[in-house]
Amino acid sequence: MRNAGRLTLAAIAISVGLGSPSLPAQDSSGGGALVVHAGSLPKTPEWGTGGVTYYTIGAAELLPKDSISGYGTHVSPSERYATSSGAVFQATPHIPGGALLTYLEFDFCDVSSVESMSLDLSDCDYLGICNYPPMASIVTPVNTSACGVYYWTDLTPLNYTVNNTSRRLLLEVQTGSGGIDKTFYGAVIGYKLQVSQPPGTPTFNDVPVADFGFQYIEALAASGITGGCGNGSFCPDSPVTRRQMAIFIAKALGLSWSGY
Amino acid sequence: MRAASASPRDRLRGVSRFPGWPYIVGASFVAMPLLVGRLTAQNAPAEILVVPASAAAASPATSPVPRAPRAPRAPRTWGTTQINYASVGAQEMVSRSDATHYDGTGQLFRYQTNDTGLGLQATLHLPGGARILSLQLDYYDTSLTGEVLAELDVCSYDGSSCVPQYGFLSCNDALVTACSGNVNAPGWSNAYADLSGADLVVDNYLKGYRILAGNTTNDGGTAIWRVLVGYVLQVSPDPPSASFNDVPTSHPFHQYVEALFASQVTAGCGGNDYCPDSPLTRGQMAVFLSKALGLQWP
Repeated sequence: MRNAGRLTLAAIAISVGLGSPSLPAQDSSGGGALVVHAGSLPKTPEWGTGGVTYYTIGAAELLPKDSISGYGTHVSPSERYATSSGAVFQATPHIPGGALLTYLEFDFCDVSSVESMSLDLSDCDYLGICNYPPMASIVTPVNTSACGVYYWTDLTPLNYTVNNTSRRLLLEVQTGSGGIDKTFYGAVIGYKLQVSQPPGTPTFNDVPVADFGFQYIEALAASGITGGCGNGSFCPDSPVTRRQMAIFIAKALGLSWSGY
Repeated sequence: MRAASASPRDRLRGVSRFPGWPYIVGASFVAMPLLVGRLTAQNAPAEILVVPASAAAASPATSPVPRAPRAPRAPRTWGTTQINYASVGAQEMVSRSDATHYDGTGQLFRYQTNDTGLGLQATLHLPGGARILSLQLDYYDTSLTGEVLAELDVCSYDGSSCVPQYGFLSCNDALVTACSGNVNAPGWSNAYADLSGADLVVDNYLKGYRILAGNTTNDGGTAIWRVLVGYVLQVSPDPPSASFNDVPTSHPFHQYVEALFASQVTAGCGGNDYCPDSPLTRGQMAVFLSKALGLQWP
């Protein structure tokens, strides 16, 4: 029995037939704010603060938690299944610090009629001690035949910003008693980059807190991309020259080439 | 019992903002999309960087003919005009099944100790929109008979079906003659393939990418060091419609202005205009740059 904090699709009448999943199945019960769907978000532009970047955690990265977590694979697909009961498979998602988590997807093939399989995303401290229950879980229905499908959940309600300095993320897949009828292909995490919230006090005397560019100019200064225009000023209304632009971009991107 | 390769999501995900775009940027001639829309046509040429002529003719996919020696290093890394490299080390290549066992050599090598064939697997992480240019296998070979195998696969989004794009067989004099490096002699070597003609554009939403590796023998005479994937970043192709009144599709910087708009780096200057020829202030530049990069500090 899964704990009350987890989201579950088990109680929902989902008829996910081969090649024709119902859309979007959802469940807001289970005590969490997240809703699990069978379906997909429309694709958005990638990269940056406006687009979503997708990071795939493939089956090859979901490693057995311990030596008794046996696993096998088919010949062609990129997948795994547990060969021992209670096996747990773990992966560390590598997401840029400061990114906002927006999307979690579980790709699987579950044709078991007696057990569900689950994907958990946990927030852990830097030692790896994780908060429980996981901040997001996707649990497949117990009695279904869902193969080559995926479930996803919108993580934006969590308002979770990645902090690689003091926190860690953990993905875990569990398949109950195991067996070839419950295989997992992996997970996808979507995230958006963010610009840090502005500090309380201005760095430059000509860019006060009320300036429309305050947050962004502070971002450049804090990242060491600009030191201003001298005398504690940034000269926000001065035209930028092509020379200055070259310096901004080269420093911002850390451009490098052979011979360094 | 298993779903066919065409999944429902393939259909769902086929709906993009600009359906039908070819994911090809043959000559991405501006180094950075940032702000180029604000440059005038007169002063623009100084920003233009020429894409170097790509290496030799493209290799057909799946032809297991290694090229040697290793790829020449690009003069610059990062960005839209030069090669970036993703290194998949041996320690990332893990058993596809726990029935496959492996060992190392005390360095960053790995080889199978019971099975043969492509028994090791790693997930390949590349930026979305990037184009794969090259594939290099670095390996160790002291065997007269054994060979090292490696393969780049493009899979469906969920990994339920994978298609090999290019396969490597290490230098073995029985099969391959065009191979520099060490042939049946102690040491390590490289094999390299130019994939620039294969039009492999990374789509992390629709597809997955993996490296398979292994050995034809499991006596430790051959081992994998790493697989190196070269790629270049791309700006999305020029869309067929205009978002701003003053940057029509005929505008020389339309593609780049649209890229900034689609990525929500800019919303224009008001009134459905972008003001491409207006001077940029240092304050505006700070907004462009920090939003594009998502700058963070503690």
